[in-house]
Amino acid sequence: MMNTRSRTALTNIRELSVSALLTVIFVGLFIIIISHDRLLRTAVIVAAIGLIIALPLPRRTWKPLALALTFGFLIVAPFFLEKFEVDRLTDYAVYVMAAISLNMLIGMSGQISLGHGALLAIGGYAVGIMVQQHHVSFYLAALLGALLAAGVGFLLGLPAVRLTGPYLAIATLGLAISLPTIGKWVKVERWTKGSQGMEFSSRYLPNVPNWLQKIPGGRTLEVYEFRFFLTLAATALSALVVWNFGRSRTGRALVALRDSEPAAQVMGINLARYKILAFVVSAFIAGISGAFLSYELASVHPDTYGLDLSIAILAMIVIGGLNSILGSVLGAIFIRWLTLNKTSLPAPTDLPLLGALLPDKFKTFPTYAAGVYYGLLLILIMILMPKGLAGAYYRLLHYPYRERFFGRSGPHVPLEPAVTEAPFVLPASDNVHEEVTPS
Amino acid sequence: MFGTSVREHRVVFAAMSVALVFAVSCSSNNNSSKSNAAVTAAATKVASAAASAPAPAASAAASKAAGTAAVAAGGSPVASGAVAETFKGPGGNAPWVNVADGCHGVKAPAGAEAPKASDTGVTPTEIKLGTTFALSGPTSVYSPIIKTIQDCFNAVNADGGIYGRKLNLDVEDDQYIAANTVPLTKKLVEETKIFADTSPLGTPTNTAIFAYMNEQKVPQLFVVTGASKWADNPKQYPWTFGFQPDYLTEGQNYAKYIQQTPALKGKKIGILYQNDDYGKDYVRGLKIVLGDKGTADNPIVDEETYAATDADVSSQITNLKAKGADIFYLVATPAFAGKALKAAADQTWHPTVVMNSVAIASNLPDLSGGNANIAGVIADNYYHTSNETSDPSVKAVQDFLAKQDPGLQLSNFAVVGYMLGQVYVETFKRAGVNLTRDSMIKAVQSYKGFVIPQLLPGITVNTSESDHRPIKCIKLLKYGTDGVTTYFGDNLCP
Repeated sequence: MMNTRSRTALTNIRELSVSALLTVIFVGLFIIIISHDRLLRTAVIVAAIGLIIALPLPRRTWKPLALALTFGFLIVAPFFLEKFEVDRLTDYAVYVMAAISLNMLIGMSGQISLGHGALLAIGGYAVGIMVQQHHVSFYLAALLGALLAAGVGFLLGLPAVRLTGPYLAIATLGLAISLPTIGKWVKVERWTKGSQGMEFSSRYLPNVPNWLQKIPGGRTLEVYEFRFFLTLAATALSALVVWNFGRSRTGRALVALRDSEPAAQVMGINLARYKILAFVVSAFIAGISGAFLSYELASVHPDTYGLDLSIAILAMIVIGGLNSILGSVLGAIFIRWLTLNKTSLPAPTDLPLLGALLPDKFKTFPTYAAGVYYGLLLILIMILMPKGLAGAYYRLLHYPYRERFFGRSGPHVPLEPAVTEAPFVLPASDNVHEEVTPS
Repeated sequence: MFGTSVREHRVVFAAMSVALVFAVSCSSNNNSSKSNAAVTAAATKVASAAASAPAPAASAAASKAAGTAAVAAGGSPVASGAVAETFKGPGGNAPWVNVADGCHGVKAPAGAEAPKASDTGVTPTEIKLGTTFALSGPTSVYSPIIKTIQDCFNAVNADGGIYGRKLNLDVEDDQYIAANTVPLTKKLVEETKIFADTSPLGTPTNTAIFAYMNEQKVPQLFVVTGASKWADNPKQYPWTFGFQPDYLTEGQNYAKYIQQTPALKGKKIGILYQNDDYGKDYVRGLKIVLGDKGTADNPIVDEETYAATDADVSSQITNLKAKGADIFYLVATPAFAGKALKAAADQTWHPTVVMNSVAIASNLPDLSGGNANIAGVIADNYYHTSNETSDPSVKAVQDFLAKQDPGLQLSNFAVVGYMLGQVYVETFKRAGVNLTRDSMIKAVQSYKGFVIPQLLPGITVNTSESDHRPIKCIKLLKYGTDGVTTYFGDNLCP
């Protein structure tokens, strides 16, 4: 048990880190708002307004409300946005799907995979070969590709039965390195088109179905709008599946084996079976997202699915928040946005205050500035938001000021579960879902 | 309690991943080694050529001997004989000087109409251009190419622009990842509304936007890649143009050399190639001319491969020797070319070696165990490398960089970028005051024997509606007993 004095010190540190957190969030939002990206700027402003309105509301009321509003926005958005903005949303959706699949594996079941890029490659090549060369329907090809990926996921799960942590990471790393390279193998070049890659003809990709062709407003649904809706549906479905899975018996078994394998075993959980199951389900969703990625890019190439893709997806879920759908969404959008907007970010010399302090020689810096920003941001986020963006969001939501200002509305959840051990021990769960936190 | 170690793993893991991502994204000025086979053919070529050193004196002598190019001292060319007869200037029929002349502004001819907003991305005062290039990540070693192009455009703008329009180039960093290239290119085309995509880098990246650019009818000009497919079907893809000789073409050129050299008649060919995109393109090119099994005069008796991760190629050399090959078609990076040549010497196998241009590195004599082992090796190239600083054309690039962008070192990338910059200037000039995407494409297709001083003598830019490969010819070079290279023979063209 902690005495009062250390509790005060702890509270001070907490206050300090929360204000630092808020500063970083506001600076980040500021950069987004001054950037050229109209899409994200709008989203950020709308979200901020929504949050201000929502804070006094009880959570049970506003959570479904926020979901409904978000989906409402996404369904109307394509009709107001430019084509490239809709394509950008599609891009985000694909990566959200990939992040959800990996988050299910790492966040929920505690198994590590550095090979998810390869699973995406399977989905992508399935579409490339089946749809483009044999004119199979895209939907069927995506499904078969996902099943194939699930098969590989099963094989990938086998070492997981015996390996944990870094050892498993390296074992799965092998897949990330080797599998995409097979696409270049001369013996299978007939199908994969080797290192030249394969570009898709739009003729064989899904067309807007007849019943969707006439939409209210007297215009037809464009192909890119349909592609967005299709991707959005697949992403929402994956999210729903993983969310439900997490609340199911199986999901809870996975959480149990993540938190303590011996304890899970004591409770009668078959470790090998559940670990492999986690890999199979995760790989299936990854395969689907790979199919959609190739659909979005209208091409497949071995290099698209290289190690950097695996690492990027991993960064998404760690930055976003482990075992959280919201985390996958925020992380994927954040990393994608940063990757695609690196060159548009202001140079260090153009920043207010800091710019005046920097010597002139930083004027030639901008080319590399992007990479430095990127790295610094990741480090800052990891320090200030150890549970990722979603974790920070929940933390702010549960922060006492809310109670101070608005009274005790909705179920109040303590900031951290009461720590009964030594104070330096990490909180018992990496789960940022408020449902699982004891109340 | 249980599980503590699992949690610790996760923390370590998170830190590890952050470090990894950081390292990947910040490695912009990394000296990329051939990290994987992913590097595009073109890229590989330029990379290895960066270290190449055909001796300056020899090449300068060769360039004078060839005598076809009209390059005067100081890099400023004088008029050559050939003029693009098929192309008329904006003011009517003013014929253009058919030689690149550095990065200067272009003044509108007297009596020409005033520039107006004639097409997407074109205003009376500006032409919006954009491209995707790897500015960070391991492939960013190629970024001097786009930087030199940008420097060239800056020089043009400072000199009054082209017909009063400034060239405004927006370079987006795609890190050589196709999944980034697509959204970035869509942004450039649909939001920034660029007039043309100028020299995007890479095979996977260009593959992903290839169909899109042609659907959108946006020029995708002079892509920086060694893959051959861009120009395979100009009817279907009229908006895309390559630039340098691709490996396929180079392979074809070697095949013709073998066929046409009387001394090589009746000799059997043995091949060693790196088992990846670039290696296979070379072999495919050879087989297009000679057939899958070679010709009756020059049968292909053996094909050996190696992976970029192999330690040694001596067993492949043993096989090649055992099969009785007399011509050794060597498609390898400098390190492996060196190993192969050394192994051949060790096993007292003395074939005629025909080596790809990728392997021409200044340290090849060391890698192959001495000048004796590389004497007589035949290779090729198409432009003056940055080592030939005594050549006026390379000196011109050096002077340009010193003036325009002192932070940028002279390199083969810079030479390539300078060549591209000049071709862009000439193309905009030819496309006329009333600049449209159609007039631009017509201008790109108008080159007949256009001379760029940095190209080897006699190698010129040639395009047409059905030919989207501007540079197709190469010049052979031979290693002497002192390890110095000499250009020889006629230019080889497909």
